[in-house]
Amino acid sequence: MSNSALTRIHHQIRIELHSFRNELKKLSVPNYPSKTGNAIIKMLTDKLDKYEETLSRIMGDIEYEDENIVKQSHEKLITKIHNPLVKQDVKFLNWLSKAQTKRVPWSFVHCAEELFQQIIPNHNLLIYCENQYNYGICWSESKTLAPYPYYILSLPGLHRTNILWHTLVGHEIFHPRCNEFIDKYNQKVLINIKNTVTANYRSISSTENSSDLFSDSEKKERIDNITNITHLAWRRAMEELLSDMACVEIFGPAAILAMKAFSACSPKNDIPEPDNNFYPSWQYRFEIVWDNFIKDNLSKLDDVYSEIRNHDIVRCFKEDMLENKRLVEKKEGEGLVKKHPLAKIAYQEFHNLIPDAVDFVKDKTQDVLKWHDEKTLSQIPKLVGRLENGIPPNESVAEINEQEGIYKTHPAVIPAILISGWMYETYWQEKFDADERVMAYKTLSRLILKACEDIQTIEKNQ
Amino acid sequence: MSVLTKNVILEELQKGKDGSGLIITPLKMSQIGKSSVDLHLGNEFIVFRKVSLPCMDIKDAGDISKNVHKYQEKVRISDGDKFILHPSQLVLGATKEYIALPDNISSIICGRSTWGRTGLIIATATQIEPSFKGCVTLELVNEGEIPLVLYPCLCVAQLILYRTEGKLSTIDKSQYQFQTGPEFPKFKKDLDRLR
Repeated sequence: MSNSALTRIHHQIRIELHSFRNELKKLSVPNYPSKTGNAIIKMLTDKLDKYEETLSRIMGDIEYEDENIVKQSHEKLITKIHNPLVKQDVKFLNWLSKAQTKRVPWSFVHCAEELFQQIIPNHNLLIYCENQYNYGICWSESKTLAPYPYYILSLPGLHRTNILWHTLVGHEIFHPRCNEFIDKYNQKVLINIKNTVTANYRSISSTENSSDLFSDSEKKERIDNITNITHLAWRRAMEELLSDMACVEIFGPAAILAMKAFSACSPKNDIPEPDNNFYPSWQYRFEIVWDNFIKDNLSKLDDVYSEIRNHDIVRCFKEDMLENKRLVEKKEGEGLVKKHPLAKIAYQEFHNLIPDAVDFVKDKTQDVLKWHDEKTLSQIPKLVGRLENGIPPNESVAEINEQEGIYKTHPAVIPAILISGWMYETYWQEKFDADERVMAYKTLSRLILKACEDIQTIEKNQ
Repeated sequence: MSVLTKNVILEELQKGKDGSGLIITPLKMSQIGKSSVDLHLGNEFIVFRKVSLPCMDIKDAGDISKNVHKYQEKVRISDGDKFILHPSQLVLGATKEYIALPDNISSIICGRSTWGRTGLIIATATQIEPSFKGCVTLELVNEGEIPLVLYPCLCVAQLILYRTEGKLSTIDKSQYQFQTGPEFPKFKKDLDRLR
């Protein structure tokens, strides 16, 4: 290791630190919709200070005559500063630039953060819009974000203001909680899978026409490999379906309609297989959440229907829900998961755990206001009425008494806002071509976003 | 024309409770005065990008509306943060309150004298037609000589409501209907008239 190589890396790191600090300064100018953006900038700035201290210390301690010390110092510069900076910290620059107020649905950010706090207390969430057609979350336990104490949620950029779709944040926010359930059953499921794979090795392998070609040790190795793949498929199914369950437990029909809208351009009947990481098909996902979270609660909406004045809205919504019911009753998804031999084993293990998974989801969302709670249901008719009249569904006015000077109102709750929005959307779908009085979808989204923005003010006013 | 007093305003709000009629939202009792309703500054502002906008010529309205992002920047200020309005600067803001007027009530928006004394003008087009729905865009100008610090939620305007006479035969939908924040000018009507 030559001294000039050390000098070169030293200069390179100084440039990287300087550029990083400059980028952070630029990112500190714009506005962020919550405190998280600036808190992350502060954390990174403190980290940069520490890197610079480390850099000075390493360079100060060098004895250039000792080749070993020069080599160790070179190593330290790379492992203690360069690598964490360019492999981990730098990701935040991208997230922060896409988390600025003007780049995200800022009215909705505090609602998503509040939901996040109820599901994962004492942690912070950064929301940004990514130019990809997906929702996603990464957090400190994941490879992408270790070891930062932040959760990073991405929304699809082209649908930034499409607030009704953002019902799906309920799914993403629950992802980090799934490990508790998965870890609890992991060993037991692994053993079950291995037993099933061993018992069915011949039939599984015969699909590849190769089972007889292997020796016993090779066979054992193959069983282990197949078990691992199947186990990963089980984990994938468990995580996705637990998150779906949580989203539907909180937002009910709004979650179903958001899933349906989001998946409208994707095939519904994909077979879980290695090519798609054994991802559950949309059809199967609908079946699971409908059977376990919607079917028995749907009658709770009967009183809501009777209070909505515009019967057309009720009819459109009911027709949509009926269509969903027909779709799930076919049970096509259940058949699809059995088509691939490994998916069949993995999804059978998932199936056996459904009652426990339902209990787990209900337990972990117990502090969250849900769609079937009385408070939510009682607000929906009034909020639908407001939307129909072009008013943000932001509050439910309880009493105005001009004699006594009383103006009593309740801020709308998020599940009620989203359900009323989706109810109106089903009506909008039917009418917008035929009736010019029906507002544009963009207006509908804006009114709902305004409602999300207002609920904090209404809470403060009380 | 008769200006609505507090009792009548509350009566009208009562009629609008279910989503139709007079609505001012969010609203608290203390905002309703003897014959007016206090309105607050919202969080969004439109600032003109002077370097990209050589002049405002309505004959170029098509170009302006197509390239609106070139000419304006929307700024969102969080509650408690500052927005500084410099002398002679014009920015567009909006009321925090969303207003829906029934077809027999019109209104005028005017500045509060406290702010007027500092040189702040909040609106030049002050008339709001019956049946309007939306947040009211405020044309904020600092006519004073020193910069003014504005904060979202400042009580900067008052709404005076009055009953209109006669019935509207057709409802002329405002081109700014259902806006939830400030809107960039739309010159379509003016351009049609010019032609």
